Amino acid sequence: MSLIVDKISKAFGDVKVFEQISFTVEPSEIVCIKGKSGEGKTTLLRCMNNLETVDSGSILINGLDISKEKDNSRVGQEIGLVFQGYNLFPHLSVMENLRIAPVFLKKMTNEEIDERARELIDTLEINGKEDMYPYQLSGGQKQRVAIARACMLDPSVLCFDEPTSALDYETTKQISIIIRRLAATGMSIVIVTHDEQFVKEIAERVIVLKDQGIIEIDRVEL
Amino acid sequence: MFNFKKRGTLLLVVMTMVAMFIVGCSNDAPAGDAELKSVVMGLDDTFAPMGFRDEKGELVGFDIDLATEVAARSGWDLSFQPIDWSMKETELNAGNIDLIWNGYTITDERKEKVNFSEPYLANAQIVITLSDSDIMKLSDLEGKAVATQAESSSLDAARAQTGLVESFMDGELIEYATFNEVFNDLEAGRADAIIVDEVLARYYMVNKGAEAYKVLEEDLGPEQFGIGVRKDDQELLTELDDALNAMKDDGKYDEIYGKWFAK
Amino acid sequence: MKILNMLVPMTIEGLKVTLGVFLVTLVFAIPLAVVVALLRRSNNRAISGVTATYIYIMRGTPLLLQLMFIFFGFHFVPVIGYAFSRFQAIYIAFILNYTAYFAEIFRGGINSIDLGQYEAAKVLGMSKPFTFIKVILPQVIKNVLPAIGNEVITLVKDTSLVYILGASDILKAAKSVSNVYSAFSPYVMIALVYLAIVAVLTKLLSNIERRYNYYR
Repeated sequence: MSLIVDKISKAFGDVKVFEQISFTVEPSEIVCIKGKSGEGKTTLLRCMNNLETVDSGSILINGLDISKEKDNSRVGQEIGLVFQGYNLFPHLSVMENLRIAPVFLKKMTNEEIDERARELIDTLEINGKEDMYPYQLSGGQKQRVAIARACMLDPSVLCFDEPTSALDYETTKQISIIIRRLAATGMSIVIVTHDEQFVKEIAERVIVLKDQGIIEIDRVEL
Repeated sequence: MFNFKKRGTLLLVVMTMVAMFIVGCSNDAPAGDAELKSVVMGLDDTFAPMGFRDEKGELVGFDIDLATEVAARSGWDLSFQPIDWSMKETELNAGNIDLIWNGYTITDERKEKVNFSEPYLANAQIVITLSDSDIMKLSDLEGKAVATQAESSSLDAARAQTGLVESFMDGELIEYATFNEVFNDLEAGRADAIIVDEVLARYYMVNKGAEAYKVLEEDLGPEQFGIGVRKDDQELLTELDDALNAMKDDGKYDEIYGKWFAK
Repeated sequence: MKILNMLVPMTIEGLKVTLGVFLVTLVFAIPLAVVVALLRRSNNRAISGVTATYIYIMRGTPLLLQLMFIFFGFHFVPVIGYAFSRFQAIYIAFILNYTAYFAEIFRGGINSIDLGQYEAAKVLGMSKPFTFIKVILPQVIKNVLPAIGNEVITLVKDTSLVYILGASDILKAAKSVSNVYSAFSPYVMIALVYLAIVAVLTKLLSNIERRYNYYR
């Protein structure tokens, strides 16, 4: 199992977001997390990426308990996040956006970094855009750069926060293809979304957050 | 994007080091002969004709010449420190300078802060108008626009005369930071009359052509220039007065006076 | 003419002071300001409080007074009791003063950076120092350039305050020549010198701004 979420609870002050929830995700699995606004889906995602801390419980990715891990760089190599607003670095070109994290981590040689970048650029179909700056890209292109950037560290789990909120129907189909491609390489995919159509399109399993707890639903056969 | 930053930074650092070197070298106190007594004379080096810079940028002036002579006679290693005139007593009492010697008028208020040497130059506060003015006497100044230099003994002298300033236009004196501006006002016709140091005024009028001006017979009182010394610096004061008196006796003073105030 | 003959060499000497103070202040105050801005944003109340007080004092009193205090007042301070030389006092006053102003500008710039930038960097495993230098600061610089440029130009004019400690900058050169010749024109000429300096600076600053416009 890539991802094990074990009885985690989170509250902001007196407000409980979720309590004692658990679930797992396998490699190559695509899981969607649904729930009404305010039910905690984004919080859950942020906890998984160490942007928030859980009050109790643990989150294990390939055995590493990231809820207790202080070192960002270790967490970043196991799990990645594609933000709803992408959060690309505007002052860096596409290529520089891709390279900045691996260069910092110093775990790969320059050649390896370049090679990985090339591969991802191909997979994500953003060829020709390497020297462009985020402001020159369309929404869909920015998203793909964000995905490529997250994948540069070769995480075992890749999270998406509302990936279709800014996309039209066509682009949504394209994103589905890309996500399946990534899943095929062994990555676990966790997607927070309220886009029913998209869920039907792509989810193998659905986790619904409700009343500080979870209802897990396997994909309804079409 | 980063290449020009590196070059720019390097350029800046080099320029700064050069700047600091140049500026740091333009000194506070120059080196001196260890056997002579080191004395620092503070002055506003823009104050013609007492102490100022000539066309070549050299320090010259009546006070400069007097001081140099006194230093030679007293065995001083004299150096000149430009200061801001408004800070002169502060500089003296802080020990940054040992003498205030720059057309420094002796007044009772100042005597509370510093000790003065014997007076070495007579001055007066005079009233000047343009030569075609019909102002003849002090009483003619009533209702007129009168200008003078701020924070000067001219200002004090004017205020000391009861009722004088109140009789001017709007009941006040127009004040300017510098002497030149005061004269400028007169020439521009904004001021009908000005109250200024006689010593300075004569220098200015020589430069500009004395025919353009008229000096009133009545003045606002005689004054004397002295040299300011710290209250506790009795030894310096004695050496100073001794040298000055000797110069007055043996004609050296007259010689220097003649150089600067030839009539 | 005679006035120019005297004014030109004195102006060149004065420029050493004017530009010297200008450059030294900038070279030290700008980097220091980034540090002070970070201190001011610190979660540690003591640190941010002390920093806020420093900024308040520096912005709340005239630079002229600060020059006077540091040069004349410092040797009254017990323990330290050290009297700075004229130029030490000048540099210290200018650097302390301008660091405070620049720091507030940087702080505003840092505050305006979207939180998402920090989060994206964190999620990518980048350390806080690396994030600040490679992600945040470059964006801050682009944002604050106009405001910084403004202060830089103010600094050129503020250099004339060194007169209070007797230093001879270009404005004093004008005063010297003006008094010798009883003329006003030296001031006009020096005004032109200031204008020339600011013209060059303005061009330089707009060049830098243009370079940072490679992205929006």
